[in-house]
Amino acid sequence: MLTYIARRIFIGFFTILAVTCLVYGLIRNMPGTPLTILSENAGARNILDDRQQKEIEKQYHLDKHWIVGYGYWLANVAQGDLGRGINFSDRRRVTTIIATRLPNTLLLTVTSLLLTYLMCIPMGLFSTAKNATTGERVLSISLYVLYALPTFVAAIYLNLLFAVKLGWLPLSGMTSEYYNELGSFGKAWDILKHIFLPIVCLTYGSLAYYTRFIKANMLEAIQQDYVRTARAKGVSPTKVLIKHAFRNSLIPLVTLIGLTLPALLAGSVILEHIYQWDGIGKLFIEKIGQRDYPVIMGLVLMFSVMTLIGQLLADILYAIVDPRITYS
Amino acid sequence: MSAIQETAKSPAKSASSQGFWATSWRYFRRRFFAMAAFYYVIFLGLVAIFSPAIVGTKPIICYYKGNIYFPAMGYFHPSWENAIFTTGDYFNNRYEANLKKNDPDSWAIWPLIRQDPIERVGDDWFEGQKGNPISTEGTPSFQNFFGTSSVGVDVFAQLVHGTRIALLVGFVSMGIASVIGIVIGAVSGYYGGWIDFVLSRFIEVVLCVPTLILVIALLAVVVSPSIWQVVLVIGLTGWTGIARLTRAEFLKIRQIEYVAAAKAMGAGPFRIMFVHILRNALAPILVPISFGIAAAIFTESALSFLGIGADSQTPTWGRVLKEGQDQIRSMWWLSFFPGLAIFTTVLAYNLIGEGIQEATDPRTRDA
Repeated sequence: MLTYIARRIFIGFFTILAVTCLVYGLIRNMPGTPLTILSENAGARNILDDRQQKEIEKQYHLDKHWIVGYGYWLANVAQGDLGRGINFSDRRRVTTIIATRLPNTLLLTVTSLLLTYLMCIPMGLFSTAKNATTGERVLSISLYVLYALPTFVAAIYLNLLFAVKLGWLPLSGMTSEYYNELGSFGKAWDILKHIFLPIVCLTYGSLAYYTRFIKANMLEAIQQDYVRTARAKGVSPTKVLIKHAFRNSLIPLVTLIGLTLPALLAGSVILEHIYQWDGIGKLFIEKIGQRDYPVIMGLVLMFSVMTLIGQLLADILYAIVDPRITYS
Repeated sequence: MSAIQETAKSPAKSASSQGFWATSWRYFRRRFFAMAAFYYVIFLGLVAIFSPAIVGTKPIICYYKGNIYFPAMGYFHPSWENAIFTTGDYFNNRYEANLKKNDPDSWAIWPLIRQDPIERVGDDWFEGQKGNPISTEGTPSFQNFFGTSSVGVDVFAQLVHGTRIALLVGFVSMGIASVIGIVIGAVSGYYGGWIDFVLSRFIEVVLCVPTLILVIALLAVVVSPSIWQVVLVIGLTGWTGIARLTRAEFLKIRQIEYVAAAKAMGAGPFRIMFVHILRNALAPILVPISFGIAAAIFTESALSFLGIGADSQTPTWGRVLKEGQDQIRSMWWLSFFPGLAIFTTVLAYNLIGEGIQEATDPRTRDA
């Protein structure tokens, strides 16, 4: 097992090298550099003079071939330094920039994940127990429709209904303008009102997916011999469902946890764009527009490390919960 | 070869059993939702093919200065609109008045609805048809079924012509993705060993970057991407699922005796992979392809929606939806109708994928 993990980490190291090299090459070859984008947007007030431009170019190795720049970036990362943002407005360290945005995304994704798990298990058990009844059919079909509903369409429809037509909830943003004048209860209520729609949009898709997933696994589990044995010796249907069948259908569910790890950190580009939520997804789009290479690279590094850790975690968890699986 | 054998055999063996695809089709047909989705996609295909005849400002057929022309073809590709109308006599899309003015003997067969997906139809375009209303005035009406945009472009026309783009994106990008995915998956699964190791790592690298982010990074390389470049990028990034499934199928099938038999008869690896194995692996591979078409349509609309999709000369559903998002407080029709179009299309392809999965899998067939 340990050698397996060591080998996977070793391979993953090269995967990350390839990913970052690919992305670095891509973004350096996009038309426009951080400096040209800056002078387009900065206006006459703070245009850089030639000397300052040269300085920045030198500092970020923009004057050299991209592969050389990648080498420098890699050397710095090896020393634990992701560099600083190029853009005027945000010259902080990349780690600081990401760290200030990360809580906002986590607030959305973690809440959504918890809600998903809380709801998908009872719904999955319900649709197994009541399989092929009218109630189950209605639930399954509506879940299927939700699964196929694109998030941005859902977000806009919900906005039309709750924000425009009924006027109950705000259209976008993270807090109201008068947020600072509110008391602590008022603040919580304000955040709740703003977070409600993004959470709904982020949750319904995964909820539908997980419920279907649980149901499919459960339907397989209740056909096993040990379930028939349990029934034959007189265990109550609820107990058979939860203690005998459900526990054994948890194995594939465990692997899903590992695979959701990268999504937790990456957030959703589209939802954060629609709801003007200052998270990681919005940051990525902004920085692509500004050609802020160090920040983009920092984000890509984070995404790819998390994806690989998630995959590895899923495989390890799989072997832990299912003793039949061994890695040699 | 096999077809000839079958026809030769059939008179002798009258009650021959159905083939795999016929059986699968029989099971697929039993599924109400899958069939409804199938008919819906056919309907969309017809709308896409006949879009210039349904909505447009260019005549389908017209007689002008002694010749017959088909100017509506210009909606498929700008260069297919006869040059006499564009650069020659410079009609500037105002066909009715110009046809009459330049040639009193001319006649024309018009599309069912005279609206344009790119431009606002003004007062002087057609006799007896008022110009389109602008901004919040453009509520859905008898003249503009789905309302008009803030500059007065008919939304119904945009959606009908957008169908063409959506289907094109779905099929072409998934065509590209299928070819890449099947070849990489097949080579990887068939040869195994270090080839499999290298290709699997490659798949992992592509999987590692979130799709939308990879698409955005690739698209940003071009200044103002055309719809074909968008399609290409979606195809180049959407093959990993197909490749992984193909690899798994090939790993399984290459152990079966008939592959050994084919090898013993001297078949080359190319022949074994793409003639012998692929045929039997095709059914499970069709499932991610069908889901992939839905995902491709989703990605394209998402890109247009984020404002980084195809150029403004291409009417796409996502762009209308983006305008709807900008004008959400005052013009609900700009987001409602394109949203519905995207949603139903994505749903239909998902249902078809599900139907194929259940119809080709013996375990779920009879459910």
